[in-house]
Amino acid sequence: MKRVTPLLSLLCLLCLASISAADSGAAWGVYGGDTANTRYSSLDKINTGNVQQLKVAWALQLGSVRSQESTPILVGDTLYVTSSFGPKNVFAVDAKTGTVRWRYSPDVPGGIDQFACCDVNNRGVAYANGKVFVGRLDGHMVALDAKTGAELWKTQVVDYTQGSVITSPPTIVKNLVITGFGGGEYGARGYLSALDQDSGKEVWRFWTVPGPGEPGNDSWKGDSWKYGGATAWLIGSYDPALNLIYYGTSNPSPWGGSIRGLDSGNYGIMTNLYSSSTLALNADTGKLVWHYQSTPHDVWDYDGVNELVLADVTVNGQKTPAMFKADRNGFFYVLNRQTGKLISAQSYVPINWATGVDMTTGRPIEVPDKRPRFKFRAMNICPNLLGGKNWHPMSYSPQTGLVYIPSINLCMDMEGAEPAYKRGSFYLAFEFDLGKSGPGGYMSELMAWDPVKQQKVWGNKDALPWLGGTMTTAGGLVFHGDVRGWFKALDAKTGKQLWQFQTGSGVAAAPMTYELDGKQYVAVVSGRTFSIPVFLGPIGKQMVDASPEGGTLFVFELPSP
Amino acid sequence: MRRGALALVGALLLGLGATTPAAPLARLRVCADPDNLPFSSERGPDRGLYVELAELVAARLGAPAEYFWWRSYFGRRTVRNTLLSDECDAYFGLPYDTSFMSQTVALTRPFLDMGYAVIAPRSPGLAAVDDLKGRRVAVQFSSSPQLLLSERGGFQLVTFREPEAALDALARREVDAAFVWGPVAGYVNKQKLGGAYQVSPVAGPGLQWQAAVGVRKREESLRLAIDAELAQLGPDIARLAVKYGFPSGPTIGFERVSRSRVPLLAADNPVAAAPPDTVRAGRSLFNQYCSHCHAPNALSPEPSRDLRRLRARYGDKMRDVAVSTMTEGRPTKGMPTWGDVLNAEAIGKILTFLESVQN
Repeated sequence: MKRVTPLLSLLCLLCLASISAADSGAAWGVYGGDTANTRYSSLDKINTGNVQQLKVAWALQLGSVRSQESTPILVGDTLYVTSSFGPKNVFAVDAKTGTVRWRYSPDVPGGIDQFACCDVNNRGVAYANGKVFVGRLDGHMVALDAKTGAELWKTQVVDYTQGSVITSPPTIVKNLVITGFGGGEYGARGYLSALDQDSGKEVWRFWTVPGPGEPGNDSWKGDSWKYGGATAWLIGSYDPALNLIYYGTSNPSPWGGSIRGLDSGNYGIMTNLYSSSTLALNADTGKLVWHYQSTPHDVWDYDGVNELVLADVTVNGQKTPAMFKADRNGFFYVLNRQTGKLISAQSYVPINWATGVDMTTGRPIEVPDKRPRFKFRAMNICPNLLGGKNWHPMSYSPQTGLVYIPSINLCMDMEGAEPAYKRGSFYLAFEFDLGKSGPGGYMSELMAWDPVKQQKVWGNKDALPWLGGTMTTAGGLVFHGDVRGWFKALDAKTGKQLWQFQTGSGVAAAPMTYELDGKQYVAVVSGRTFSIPVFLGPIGKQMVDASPEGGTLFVFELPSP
Repeated sequence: MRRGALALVGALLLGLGATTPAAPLARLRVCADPDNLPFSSERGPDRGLYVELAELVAARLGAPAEYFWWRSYFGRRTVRNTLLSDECDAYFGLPYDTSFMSQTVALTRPFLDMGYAVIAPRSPGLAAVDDLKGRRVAVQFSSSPQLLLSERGGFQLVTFREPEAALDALARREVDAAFVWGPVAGYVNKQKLGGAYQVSPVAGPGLQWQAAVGVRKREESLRLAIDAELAQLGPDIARLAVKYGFPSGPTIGFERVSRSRVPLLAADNPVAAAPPDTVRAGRSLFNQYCSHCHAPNALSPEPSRDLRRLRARYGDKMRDVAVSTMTEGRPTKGMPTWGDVLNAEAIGKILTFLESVQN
């Protein structure tokens, strides 16, 4: 920490607070609003002056009632949205009326939910050249005819019976559709797979854990690389100018650090590459251009998967291509997205497992007694394994220069000791008590974060965790949901709540907005998380009590004048 | 509809006059993995120990067993998808451990000991896990042996996702031994490898367990009914364990140990005399070797296994009884023989710890 602060202050003296976002605007043709994942819309017909009048235009029942995480995309005048559980349904909907144009309901294998590490989510689809691409829990990527919903091809990316499932929309680059998968808990060895959009054939594959003979393989003890995890299960970003795609990777596996390395903060070379990292790959070849590992030799389950938001920042008077990441490990990172060089890192939630990030090595400065080991119970580690932020997307407004983060403030105890059972055999799994609220007694905070000064500008604290992903608009607004089912609009400058609507079930998915025939709409999917409360004991009970499960797409509009 | 059978069992046990669990139970719905020998198989001809046991229990309850076949993966989720979703009434083969899904699942008495074992060529023979140092040892991903051997160091681990693959590698001589789930090792050794290998159960933390039958927590009457039958089925279970090749050889430890008898300590009041370090060391050993039956820190909620009652039970003979029980075991009561595993010093420390927790 001591080493970070002076450098950071110096940095901010030298830089003007000017940041410009990558492409973003009126269209919302991709999960994150744009391939920079800013979730910023230049639409401003709905704004701080009239958002109070927002009302439901139409709603669509998604046909499943569990853990909805989808953000719709708009192509032409059609909205494409998925439900959870497979997805159970993909809908193409008239974006003005909510009339269903087609529905795709794949046969999801029975019992699929036990292979999905964390829940049966689906976060949405991607679109390119008349095709809609959907990653499925059963490890397949399918291409659908955007007009009819007919399945054009179906490619197995990974065997789901090994605990590897696809939950996120792929990244579209030129003629490729690029996807990862989940399963870091279950012994997958991660990779990113690029498929040809027309044929579904694999064009390249990048293993996120290096094999024998490759650089980084010696960062794993023995043959632990074979099942090393580091899966890329969340959203990728793409910078067309640099032709680089960016993905974060999950925790290494299995849990026991001694299997993978020295089981110590003095991990030496055994950092378990490229787990809990940010990767930059050449989009055409899948070759690694740079990597940055935020949590070396992880034992906390601090996945590094959180989305990379691409924006340009002025450093030392020079416009620099940067990226922001609110990492699960509690640090907000600003990296040069061309070189991977660390620009700054600062904790954005209460943390105690590390005191700061060493700007020379880029590594966290660990607190030894917060690193759990076999038969060593580390107490009250903050943040807990859900992270300072989980998958719920943040957004970045070039208008305010702020990042809007749905943060979590929970802590945990952790050690390797619990009895577990797998296909007839019993074993010791790692045990954790996640149900501890963090310092200050609140469990989450919707915060506006200045990525240049690396400090909070405002924050709305909440007594319950699991705030929804955010969207921000040129109308000076930030939209997000909460676990009680409220969907809210805030003033982007102050955080003041301007409007709210009760959707009937918890909202974790991030909203989007679009304009048709001169009218702006706001859309969000409602449906409370099912599996997360299971991990949280009494806090989980409060979450379950906060709202019932559900699955509805709501679209809002202003009343006609 | 599905509750019907259980309601009848409940009525039976609530004392409607029946003295034998006969006709009233319409059926016993059992959840089982369709492809998980030696435990269960839908196809046969081997149906697996759990299925054969379920048949015996069902027959004694006077009800046909029906099966809900569900490919199991991770236990908790499998249990949620089957037993807790009311697809079946009984789940054979859950870890007998008070902390396993205790909010939702109730367990019968344990019906069988099982655990991890080293399977290796009979010659030159294996006396301790440490004999494998420097050798290639196959383990299953994320299993207790993978963790323990990694902690211990000095072994060349070769990791597999499933124990069957580890045993295939052993048969191909790609590894020198496999340290995997004992029932699978024993079954494959018997069925596929002609019994050519030595299968030795290994003592240690997280290695030896007991299997029980799980029912939904609120269905106490069914739990008691199955429990009562299991109590009668010991000889049948032993026969099935032999049939399916479950390891029965002597347990080995990690270290080679001397076989010297445990000297009885002379101190009149060893508790007062014992330095806290010894109590701590004893507790640690106890938690490693004894706690899976006798509960961590000896805090067993089950009176027959509660070692805090040793003094109350045996008075001045407590130490003698405890030492001989630990050294020689009580095979008829499920207490293993620890004389080959724990040396005199270790048993002495455990005793000192037990002295410190007597009621």
